[in-house]
Amino acid sequence: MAIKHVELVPPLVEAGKISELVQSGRAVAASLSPSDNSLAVYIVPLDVSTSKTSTTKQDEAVYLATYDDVPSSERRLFIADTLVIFSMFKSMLHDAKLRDPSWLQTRQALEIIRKLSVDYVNFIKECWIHASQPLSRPEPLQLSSEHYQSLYAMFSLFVVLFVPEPGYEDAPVGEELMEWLNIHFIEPSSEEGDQLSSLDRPWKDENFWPYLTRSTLRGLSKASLFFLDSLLQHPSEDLQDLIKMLIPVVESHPRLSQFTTERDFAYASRKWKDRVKALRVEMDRVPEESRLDDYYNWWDSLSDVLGILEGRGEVIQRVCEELGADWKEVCAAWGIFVDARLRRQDLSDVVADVLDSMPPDPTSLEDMLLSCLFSGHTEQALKHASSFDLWLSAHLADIMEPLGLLDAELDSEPLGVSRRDECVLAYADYLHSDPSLWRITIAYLYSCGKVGEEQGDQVLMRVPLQVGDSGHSPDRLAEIVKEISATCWEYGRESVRRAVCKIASTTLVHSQDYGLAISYSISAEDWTGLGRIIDAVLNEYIQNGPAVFASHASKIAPSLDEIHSNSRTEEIFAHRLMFTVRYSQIHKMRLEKDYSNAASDLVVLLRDEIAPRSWWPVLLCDSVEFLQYNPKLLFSFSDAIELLKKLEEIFIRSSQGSGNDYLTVLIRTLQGGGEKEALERLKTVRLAIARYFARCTVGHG
Amino acid sequence: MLQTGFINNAHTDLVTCAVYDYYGSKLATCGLDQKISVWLLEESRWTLGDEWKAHDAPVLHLAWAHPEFGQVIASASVDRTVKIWEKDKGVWKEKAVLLDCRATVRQVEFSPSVFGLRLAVVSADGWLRVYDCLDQTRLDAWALADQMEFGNPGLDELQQLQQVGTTTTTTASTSSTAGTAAKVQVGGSREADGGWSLSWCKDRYWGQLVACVLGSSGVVNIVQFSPSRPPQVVLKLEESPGVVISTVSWAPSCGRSYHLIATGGRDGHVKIWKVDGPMIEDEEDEDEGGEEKKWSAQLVADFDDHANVGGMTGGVVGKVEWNVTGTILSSSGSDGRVRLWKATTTSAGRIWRIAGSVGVEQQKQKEKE
Repeated sequence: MAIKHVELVPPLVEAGKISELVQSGRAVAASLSPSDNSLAVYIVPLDVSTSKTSTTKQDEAVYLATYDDVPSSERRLFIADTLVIFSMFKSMLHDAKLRDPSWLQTRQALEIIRKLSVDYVNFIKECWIHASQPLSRPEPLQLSSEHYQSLYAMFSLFVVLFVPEPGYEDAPVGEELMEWLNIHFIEPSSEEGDQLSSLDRPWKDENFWPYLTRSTLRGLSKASLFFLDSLLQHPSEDLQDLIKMLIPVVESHPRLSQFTTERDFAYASRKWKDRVKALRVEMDRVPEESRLDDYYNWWDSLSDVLGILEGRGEVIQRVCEELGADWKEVCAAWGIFVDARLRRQDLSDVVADVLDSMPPDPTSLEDMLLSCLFSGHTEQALKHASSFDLWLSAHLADIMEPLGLLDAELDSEPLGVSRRDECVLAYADYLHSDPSLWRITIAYLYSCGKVGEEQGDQVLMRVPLQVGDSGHSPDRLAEIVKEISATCWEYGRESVRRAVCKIASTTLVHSQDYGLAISYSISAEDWTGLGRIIDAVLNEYIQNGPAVFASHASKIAPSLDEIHSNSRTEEIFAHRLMFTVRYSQIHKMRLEKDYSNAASDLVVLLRDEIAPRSWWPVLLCDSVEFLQYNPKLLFSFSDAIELLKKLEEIFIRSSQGSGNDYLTVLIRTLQGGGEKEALERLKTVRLAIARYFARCTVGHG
Repeated sequence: MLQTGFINNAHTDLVTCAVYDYYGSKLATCGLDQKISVWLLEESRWTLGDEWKAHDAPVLHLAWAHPEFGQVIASASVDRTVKIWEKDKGVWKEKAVLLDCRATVRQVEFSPSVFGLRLAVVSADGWLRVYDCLDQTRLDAWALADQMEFGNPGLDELQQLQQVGTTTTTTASTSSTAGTAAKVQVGGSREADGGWSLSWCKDRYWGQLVACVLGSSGVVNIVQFSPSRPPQVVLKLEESPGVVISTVSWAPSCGRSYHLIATGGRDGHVKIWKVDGPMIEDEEDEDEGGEEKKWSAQLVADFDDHANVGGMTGGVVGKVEWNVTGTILSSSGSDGRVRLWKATTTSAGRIWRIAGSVGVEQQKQKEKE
């Protein structure tokens, strides 16, 4: 399907002068895109070590190219709709694994396989019809109606030969083969028939006998009888007599569908063959001189018709060659006339003989594939199928495997890829050429064992969480993450879900959507990531002050419930998150002038040591505002004692050389200065506490 | 193969590297013009997102970090520095400059994200260096966690390089060697005659592994890093004597029990090596008395298609690269062709074949018709 080589435009060198590229010190390099296997191709210096920046500017280009022809509208529809059948098939195989291993050989299983295979055939037929219609389309068809017609013929033959109706596996196949041939390779044409039937003496037309012979060969008794009837007007009485005998013979040709048991069919066929033989005796009695009319040797032609009915293989083969028919027609006619009880398992012997003298067309992948199916060479058929359309090889292989038509393991490696998986993986690789088909791509990949799962993970993890570079909408991102998470759940890919949540979390931190970022981090159980987000939120306080910090309070608050509901939360991170949320809420309350609650919460954070030591000085500095609040006393005496205790601990530990444990954050908020300045600042807290005690003593407020 | 686009004015001098981000929706390019450009894919068209002068000498290589670390790019330059860039509030900012290399920095690549924010660097001074980011929020502090010398740098100053464990907290200053193309004698040959490339193993189960080529020894060294011991070479992929390997790429194993490593040589050959080795758990089993599994390699494909340039021999392979699922290998070189290789299973086993190719020659008249 893919064109193998492309020369990029604008070209860099003239045709046949590629050596000029290397002479000018340049070479080609390429990078593969993770999203669709497309290529960025660019021209590099042959030796970078001696390359220097030029003083003159010259535009240098990057070319983009793809390996696969990205599916267009009608093809996408075909791909999407056949996935439905593929998924049903997969689900059936999944159920089969839960049952007895032999269940797949049961009638019930085979009926499902048959039904789904026929569904494929019917669907391809619809696509072919749709593609054949002369409609005005938004874009031209990517694959012609002939392509779908071929798919239809190939898939149908596969079903006829390998997925027969359960219970009929051992039934004669000739009738079904001929029906298949008549549907997919229509001969003789109805136009020819119409033209001949409009003539008074059609036998005078050069196409008459070929038409009659071919309709006989194809088992089209209605058409044969119509023109045999016309021969009753032929001037030759001998011919008329023979036709009178031949008509009832053709009319009574036993066809398998007319019988309820094969025994009856076989008996009727034998009796009928005797009648044909009797007719041959009558024919031979016609004297040589009466065998010609003014126009034609009718006897020879009628003899061929009779030869077909007699089931003479050499006559059928010769007639087919003369009519321009190929090996398929010989094989199908064989199963009707030569060996009416021809079994599927015996077909390959017949086909081998026929193909010896009438080989398939090596230039036609369709013909090669059909001949492989006729011969029972399923592996070879898959090879041609993959060259024709990766869709075909994938879906044929998918059915072939449970039917035992493929070697289980071709790859000698442990965890090797089966032939079926190889075909499905190749199809998925083709689907990967269109990143928007990721849902379908992974559906196929995740049906291919360990290798497929890991490839599917790579595709799923690369579903873009944002479009473009100009920021993103958190809602859109949440929507995508939700869909990917649901997909991960469906296929049991927890590691992918976590990886995607981690990336989503990082993306959201960069846009200060801390609430959702924390939520994804908890969901991914990415505790170090959560730690980084907490740092980032706290950093908002340090960098941008309490107002900005408080603005995140309501968004990060719900994450406390989430973290408590996650049983695997690491305690330290839960603790840090609790501090961050509660501290941001304190600032929110402060901004809303809810000083009482803010002050009491602040004390709780210190008393219960929810606040990390490095934040104590900051909280204590915050307390100054509450300590100095005039309208009333916001802290109880014991609260104020608590503040003082913490303050003293900081001073004492700092004097013992452990200032780093306590003062780093405060130093950062001071925007310049060091430990000394920080301690100076804390002295104002001490003063505020002292004054507060004084107020308490006099009962002020 | 189909051409789908063309960016006309990507750079004002030859492009040295183009690398897609994790999603394939951004393409970072750099060139001899000392600039980095980031292109955005919007509605099937590539448009320029950002462009900036990144170094004071040609920029040779770029790498994107995993998106869980944000939008982070590392750049390698002839000015002997590696720079770390981050898109922060809509602007690409220089976050760190790594100054340890004593010669041109030829290639940079971030490790799989599971190992944290680690960066491996190959420099023409003959050293493979691995840096760890000490603060992923700020990206401004990087420690030289491991380093290993390959070949004989041949310069006195290089012999004085510090050993493992040096911590380099960097500033945004630029190298004093800006603008000079270093030509270091390595193993007795010029930088130009050697190959300088690295590629991380994309999976975690075998530990932290880098395949690297430094100099003209014709050997791919597979180096294993471990927190508990110094880096060690666990396997060497050796070329025929005299053949210089110019590029190496480690395929994502994607569920396979073995690894595939592709190499490209100055002899125009693309080779695929199948590499087998013990997983970390296997090693633990060994410690408990289990059977020892050794690292081993087997050459499974060897193609000389790039050697032929317009009917003459002498073509070199400049770059090999695997796709994210490890199903397609691309190779490109001085013959003006990019080739894509895919594996198929035959009765004789798995074989690699050309699946498609891209050229830059004018189409022949007949082809046009």
